[in-house]
Amino acid sequence: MASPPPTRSRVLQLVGAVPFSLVLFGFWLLLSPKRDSFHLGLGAATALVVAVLAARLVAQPPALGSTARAQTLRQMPWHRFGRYLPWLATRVVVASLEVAYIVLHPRLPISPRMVRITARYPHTIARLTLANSITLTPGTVTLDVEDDTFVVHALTDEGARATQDGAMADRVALLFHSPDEPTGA
Amino acid sequence: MTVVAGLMLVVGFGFVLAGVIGILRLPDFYCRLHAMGKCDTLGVALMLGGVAVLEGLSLTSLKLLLVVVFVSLANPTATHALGRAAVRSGLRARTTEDPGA
Repeated sequence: MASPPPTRSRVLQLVGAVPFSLVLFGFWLLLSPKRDSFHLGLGAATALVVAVLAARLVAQPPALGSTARAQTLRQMPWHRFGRYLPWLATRVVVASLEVAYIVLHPRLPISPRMVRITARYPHTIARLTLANSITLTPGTVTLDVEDDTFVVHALTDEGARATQDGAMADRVALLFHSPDEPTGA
Repeated sequence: MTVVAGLMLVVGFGFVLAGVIGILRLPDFYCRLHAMGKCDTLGVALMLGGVAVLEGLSLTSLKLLLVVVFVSLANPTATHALGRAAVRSGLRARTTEDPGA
């Protein structure tokens, strides 16, 4: 009994798995000190199988809430993260210093509160990025995201204000904005 | 190099310590999330980075850097998962307007 011929998109998916399998094989080489043909072959086979099994994850938009505005991992503007990540890294250091200062302060100067903000993004990954960025910046942790609403716990008044003024949301919007789509953030 | 590595280890340890003190001193679950999610992430990254510097450029230090990348992805994710679970199960936050919650 012959299996039905694979559709064109299915073939494309498998071809798309090749670069990912190379990345995985590089990871194998990094972790495995054994360089004989048996272990290298094992690594290559594992990389290929995992890449083929994961091909759909890379090629399909993640199911975060409504998928109408979803974008696949491959279509993401990865190059813009080059400018975003260094900025985020400095925020992480500032955030840690602030929390360290607060907990070591004798009077524990906190004024915790819940903040809800709304940010409309064209992509689910943009929402994911904003949620994680809020978590990593001073005084705030994202607790829940429901469609366009972000539930944020702020440790300080400052954190609450910084979340509400939308500077972070604008940066994330810039990160994902493409000329043919409105950001609407 | 040894000085840089030592500095990174000590500062990293300081952040982890601050995180632990935060967990002990802060008043409720949500506040403690802040101490856990931030200080620990940076602290562990600094300490592992320090060990990597001490080790020099080798397969071991590359693996250590991979652990750093993994921790800085996994720690905020775990923090978020805990926070979300707390919100969904109806845990109320103690706030300045409502200190009794």
